[in-house]
Amino acid sequence: MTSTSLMRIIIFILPIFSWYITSTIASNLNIVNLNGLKAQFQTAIKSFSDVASLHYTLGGVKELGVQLPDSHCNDIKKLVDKSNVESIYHATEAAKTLVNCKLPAEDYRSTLTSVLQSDESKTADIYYAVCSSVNLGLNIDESNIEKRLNTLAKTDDSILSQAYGLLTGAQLSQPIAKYYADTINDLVQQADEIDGRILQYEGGIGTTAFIVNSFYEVAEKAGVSIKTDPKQLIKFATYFSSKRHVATLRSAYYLTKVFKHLCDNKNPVPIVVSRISPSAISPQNPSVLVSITNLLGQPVGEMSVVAESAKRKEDGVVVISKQKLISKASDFSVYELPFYDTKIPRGFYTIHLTLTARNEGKLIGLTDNIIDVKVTSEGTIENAELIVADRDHGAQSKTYKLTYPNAQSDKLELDYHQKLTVKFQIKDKQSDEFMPVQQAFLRFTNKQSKKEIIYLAEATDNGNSQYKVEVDLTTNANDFRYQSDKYELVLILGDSLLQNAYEWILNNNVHLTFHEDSLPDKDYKNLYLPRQEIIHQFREDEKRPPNIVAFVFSTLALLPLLILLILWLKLGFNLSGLPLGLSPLGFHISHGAAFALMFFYWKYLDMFQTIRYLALISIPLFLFGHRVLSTLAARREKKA
Amino acid sequence: MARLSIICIGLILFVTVWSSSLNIEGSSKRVLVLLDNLAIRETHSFYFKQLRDREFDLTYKSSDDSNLQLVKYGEYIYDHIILFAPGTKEFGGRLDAEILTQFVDAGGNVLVAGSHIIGDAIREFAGECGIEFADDKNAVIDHLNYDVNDNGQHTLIIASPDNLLASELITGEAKKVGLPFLFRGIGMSSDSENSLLLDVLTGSSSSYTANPDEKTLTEYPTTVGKRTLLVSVLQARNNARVGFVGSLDFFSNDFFQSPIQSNDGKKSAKSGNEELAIALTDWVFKQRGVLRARNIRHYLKQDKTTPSFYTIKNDLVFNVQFDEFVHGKWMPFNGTDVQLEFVRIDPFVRTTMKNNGGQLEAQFRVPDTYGIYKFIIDYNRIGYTHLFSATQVSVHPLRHTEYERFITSAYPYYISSFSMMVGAFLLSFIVLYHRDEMPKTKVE
Repeated sequence: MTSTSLMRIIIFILPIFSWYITSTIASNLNIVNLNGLKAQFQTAIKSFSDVASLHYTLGGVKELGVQLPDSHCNDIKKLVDKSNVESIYHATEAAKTLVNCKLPAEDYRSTLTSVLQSDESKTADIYYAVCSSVNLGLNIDESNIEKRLNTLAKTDDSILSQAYGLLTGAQLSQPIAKYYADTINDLVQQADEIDGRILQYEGGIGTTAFIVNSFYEVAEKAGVSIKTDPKQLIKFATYFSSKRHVATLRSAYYLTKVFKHLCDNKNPVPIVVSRISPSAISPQNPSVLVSITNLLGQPVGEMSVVAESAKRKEDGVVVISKQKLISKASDFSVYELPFYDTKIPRGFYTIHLTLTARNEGKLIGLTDNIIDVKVTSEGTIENAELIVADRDHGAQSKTYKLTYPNAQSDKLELDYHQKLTVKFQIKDKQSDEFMPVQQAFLRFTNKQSKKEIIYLAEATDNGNSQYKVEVDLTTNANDFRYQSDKYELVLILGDSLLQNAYEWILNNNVHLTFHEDSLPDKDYKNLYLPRQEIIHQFREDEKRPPNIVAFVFSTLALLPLLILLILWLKLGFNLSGLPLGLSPLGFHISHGAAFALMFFYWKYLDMFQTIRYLALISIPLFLFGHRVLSTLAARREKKA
Repeated sequence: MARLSIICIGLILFVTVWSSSLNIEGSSKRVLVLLDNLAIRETHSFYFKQLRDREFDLTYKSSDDSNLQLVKYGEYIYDHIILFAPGTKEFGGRLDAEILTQFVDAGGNVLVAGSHIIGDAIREFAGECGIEFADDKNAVIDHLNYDVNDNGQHTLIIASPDNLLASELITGEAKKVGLPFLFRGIGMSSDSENSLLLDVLTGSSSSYTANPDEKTLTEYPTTVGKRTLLVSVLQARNNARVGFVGSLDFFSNDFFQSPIQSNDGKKSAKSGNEELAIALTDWVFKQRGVLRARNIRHYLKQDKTTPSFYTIKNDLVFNVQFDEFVHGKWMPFNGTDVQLEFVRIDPFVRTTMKNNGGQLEAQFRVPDTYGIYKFIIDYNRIGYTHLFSATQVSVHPLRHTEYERFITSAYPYYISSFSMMVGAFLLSFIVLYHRDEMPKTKVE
């Protein structure tokens, strides 16, 4: 890749990157969300799971000026782990916040001394041990600890470790603290700067707040002020104040401490300049109110506030320069800049404020404060008319005059031969000029399906910004999917520089008729609905004659047998030829059995069973039958 | 031989790369969180904390991290992806729109948040899902519903819960609670041909998407009115879920905690963002609305046995157990609109199954047309995974012995044949033994 193409990529990506950063970070310092922090601690008070959160909560609440009852002392004693130096540290720190909570120093002495003497201990452990010892009133060997810290500083030069070093220094005597306080500036230089606006350390809000807090602790002990560029302090403050909500109690605790330090008059105090009036400047709200406080929202004394300039964003026209703001409150926390003036045209403006403190304090961030406002104008809709014209004969048109906010009372019927035109103008009430708006929509809402069809009104080019929208019911029929139905006709006008947007119902009852059949709306919702149940239609049974017919014919079928028997009785018959013996008996039994089998076949058996039985029966039938017939034949031969 | 075995191993590896797919239900919770910059971790910490409380295993990566990869040793190393990186033009490492699409094809779930600016990779991925984001620097504008904290451009809009999808599974209690939502970001439009997309939250009928810095609209806006999609979701055919939210700020701590005051003075102590964001994430990451079917059983109603085939006009019973995955546990499903179809090319029977504690049952008579049938359950409801189950059975015609035997109308035939048999039996005596010469002799 050549260097030029690389360059091009960088040029291409950079604006996007920087845009994103600026969009996430507020432009000025903000007043801290103290209530959020307070609420966070108060939720935590309800139940404690470990001694660390106890420490952070009690400490945080105390910083916010609430004294908690000593009953929490029992929680501390219950949760502390005597063999863990970190736990002891948290316990002693938590106990310190309570009025009367003494922890038994002897219980912890062995753990603390062993940590201080061990070569394994890290800077953090040393700090925990030293701080606990100080809290418990135990003696410590300062020179030894200092030596130990110096050796550790050589092996571990991480920022966090250095911050623990500072905190330890803050617990020791003043000269040692002073030595550490001199290193603050080096640490500040190690912070990451993002977009030239904020400074932070790797590890996020909790770590940054912890480290910055350590600067203040050690500087306080050393009795010096933090020797660093105020601009960098402002950048830290910007970072802290942009964090409206933090996730952990630890972050919340250190953030609270840092805010207290940043608002302490002994230290350089960053000034928060914020607009407290709405951003829109209008006749009802003609001036800009600016609050000037410290990060916690407390007043910082009298000062003179000058609006260096107010520039229109789009073209850079300066409308105000060097105008002094008027103090509006006795504690000098609110200042007013009269802004609304017929001469100032509507638009977005940026106001640069410069502050000069009356009494020379340690206030920082007095210059380059920016306030964004916009001047809106009240509009009126004028010359609104609704024209229904024939497509082919433009001359045959009907014009209805409309006045905001009245709707047409009569229903409006339109068919595919016609077209609908709506014309209107928007006038600035103050300047009497016609003004353009960004949103000028004509909306049809199908009253049944609630489907919306929106047309854009376009401004004609000549200076009076006449808006016009034309809906031809033949060429635009597809937008409506040819759904001839009742519609609601609404005009929506809106602009960020218009004081109020309009949603004006022109006619609540418009009947549209199209020349083709309506197309259904595409709606995939019915894919998700249960489907129509299907009950199978069975083939109907063949119709059968009534039972009586079967009965009659059954009787008729029996008749021949009856007639046979009657006739036989009448004619007479004999069985004189019956030979005696076993074979005729066997023959007739098996003959009858064969017929009986047919009955069983019908009633119970299937074909294969029947054939099997028939085969069995047919053997005696054949043998006996043969015997009987041969006997009879022999007898006949004898006779003959 | 050695070379052959190497080729075999290579082939096996290749196959595993292409066949690796992810778990369908949400029991595995490895989430990759891609961020434009790590500061988002802090500005959105409440959201991420809620996810961690739900035992999601979050891995934060900067979207331009050069070591980004989804697949390691042929296996996906994440089940879900959160893309909170609207400003990223191109992802670092081995990640682009195509790989994301493959991830979804393998069953992975993705949650995407947009902003005023949206990178090409995300645009392309959204395009694959049928979502089109408006052009860069555009924003959803609503001059009639904006919050008082708006910067003047009316882009910090208030979305009404009336325009929220009425599905408890996807939107949780957000609709019932009725808190309005804060939204600052870009609008989307969905492909009208894509039936798998659902509009979760739309703008009001006065909203539109345009560049707020333009004085007048030079062309028709990308989205207007209620067609301005703020939140939409896709459930792919493999039940992978993808969520699109036009606003990254929607998930931020500020929006979660912020009270709302609209331009016309309506106030609300809290926004509904948190409720909706968490419910939506739960749904997208398969903690809600996942179904499975098991223990499919069908048998004759008469004797409760399962034959190898059914005969026409049998009465049969079909049984199936439905379970729903609710926050890490399989619970009995209690929907009452599951339908069973008995299909031979066309459905012959479609019946709604009775639900008895997750045990669904249907009873019906087999149609009088024989052939190869399928029991089909095609359960497709908003918010649930698409559950399709087919079980094949054959239906035979009646055997020769199974026809009706004793038809009343046929009695004349039965009787005539039996009377003929009786006649024949009797006649055999006469024919064999009757003698004319001795008229005195008489039987009976």
